[in-house]
Amino acid sequence: MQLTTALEDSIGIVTLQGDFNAAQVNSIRDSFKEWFDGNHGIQNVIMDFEGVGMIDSAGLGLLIALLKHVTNRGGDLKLVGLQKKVRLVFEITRTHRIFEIMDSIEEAKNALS
Amino acid sequence: MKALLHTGDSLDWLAETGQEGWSLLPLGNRPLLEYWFEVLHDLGIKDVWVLLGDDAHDVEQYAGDGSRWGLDLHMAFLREGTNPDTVFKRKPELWQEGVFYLRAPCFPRRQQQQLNELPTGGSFLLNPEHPEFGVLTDNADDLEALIRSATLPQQGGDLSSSLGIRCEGLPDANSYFQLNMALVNGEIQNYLTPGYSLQENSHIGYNVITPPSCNLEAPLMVGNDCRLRPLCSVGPRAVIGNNVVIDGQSELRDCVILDGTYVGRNLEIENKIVAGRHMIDPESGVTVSLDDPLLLAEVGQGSRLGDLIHVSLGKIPATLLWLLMAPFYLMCIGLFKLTGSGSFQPHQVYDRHGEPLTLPELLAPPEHALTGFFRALNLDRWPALGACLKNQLYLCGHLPVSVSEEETRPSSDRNCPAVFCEELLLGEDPPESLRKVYARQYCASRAVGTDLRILARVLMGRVLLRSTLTLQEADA
Repeated sequence: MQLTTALEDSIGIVTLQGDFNAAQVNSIRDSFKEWFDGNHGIQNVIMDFEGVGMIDSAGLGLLIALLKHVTNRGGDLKLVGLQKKVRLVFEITRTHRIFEIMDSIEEAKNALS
Repeated sequence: MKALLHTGDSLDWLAETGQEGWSLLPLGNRPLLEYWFEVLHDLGIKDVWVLLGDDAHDVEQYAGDGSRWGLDLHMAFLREGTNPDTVFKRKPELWQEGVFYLRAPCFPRRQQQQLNELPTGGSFLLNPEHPEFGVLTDNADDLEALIRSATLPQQGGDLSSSLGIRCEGLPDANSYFQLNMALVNGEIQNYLTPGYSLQENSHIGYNVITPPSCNLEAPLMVGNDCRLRPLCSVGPRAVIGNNVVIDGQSELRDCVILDGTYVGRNLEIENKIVAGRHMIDPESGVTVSLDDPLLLAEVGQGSRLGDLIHVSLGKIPATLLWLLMAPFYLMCIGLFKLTGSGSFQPHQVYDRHGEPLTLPELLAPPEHALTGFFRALNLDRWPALGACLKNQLYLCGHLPVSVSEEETRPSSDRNCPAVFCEELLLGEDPPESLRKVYARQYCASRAVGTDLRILARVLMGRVLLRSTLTLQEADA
């Protein structure tokens, strides 16, 4: 699983590539926290899931932990570009009610601005 | 007239779920093939040939000789790549009186409860818009063309107007889903209904455990051997197959859950088809295969690793108990022989690999003090402990199935024959039906914790059972 980060208009954009499962959770958590805690200017984060083919319960658990981490700093975490398969997992686990899920990065940026 | 049902085809949209063939695909908790058996029975066509494909073994095991439906079933095999229409050529004399030929997967949707009489003197297409579904014909020319040159009539009467059934294909997941929803909404009343009907449009199978905190809302169908955990909510319009476990706080509505599925904790399944770890969204046709046993999984198909853990953990107490019991067992054997109060006869059961295993069975009057002592200390399980050490039985599970009771070997995913099981606490000879319930319960809730509980209960329980019986006898 690849995680790339960028900063646009003081919004952190995290792009994920690959499967978001139990085997990847630790490395994603460490990379995210290192990047987020090291950039105090970032308040809001957009996570781009376009390259994520599958997510499991461990991945969802991490997302909820990251949402808490971001909101503790007063920011918000939005998810964009969910593939149908990933979206179905969000639906059956009711996590689509916890996160704000949007179609594109632009839409998420507008919502955050 | 005879019938030929070609079950060798498969439905493309089912391929991702790993399901072979369409014939055993459940609709309203009954396999699709069974609806055809029902139609044929109602039409008075008793002589039925089933053309088998890749799922031949399962269909044969399920359908048997057809006596359950009042039919005389014969099985024929179709070689891969062979045109099913050529099968008539094999025995032309069979089909001279006419044939009801189901050629492709479709559902006989009844327009009325009672079918009209079998039409004669012509050819009738099961669905004129889809001639490939099959035909009913006793027309001499059409029969000749079918038998000699494997040519199906392309024109004929409409069976739907003649009989009162409309044959509908299942081209995608959505058509399958909608058909299930129609059945659960009340259309099932046109057919033989599955399970017990508790109230209007709710059908529950046998051996279903529902805690009081579980919310069931009609219309719904629940198959056999299901476990619903506390605080879960099922229905309205939920079709739950056989051997399904729904974990706590999950909500299921407008959904179809196929046999042998585990639905994890706190999930919400709506407008979905779930088959084991596969989930299909009927609207989009997207299939998701989850590799996460906390969400969706297959029931009763324990992993090899899990099995290995059960076997390995069982070996230590089995060895200790075997050594501890050995002198008592030998002493009792001597006493039985000396006093002539009991003897042993060989008893054949299926072991955990489905092979016959011979164990000695005590024949002695149960009221005899020595018999009571022998059983209270579980010494009658000592030979089985030896079999456990030889990997033939598990330490904890269910009572091994007797070879005389079942002619066919038990399937490996539902077979955990063991030395110790809760059935031993039911008395000397618990009824077969009850033993099956216990066996299914064990297979559905198999875990190391369950094994420990069984071991403790049986080791202590049989002593207490014996003490209670002795006290009752003394009181009497």
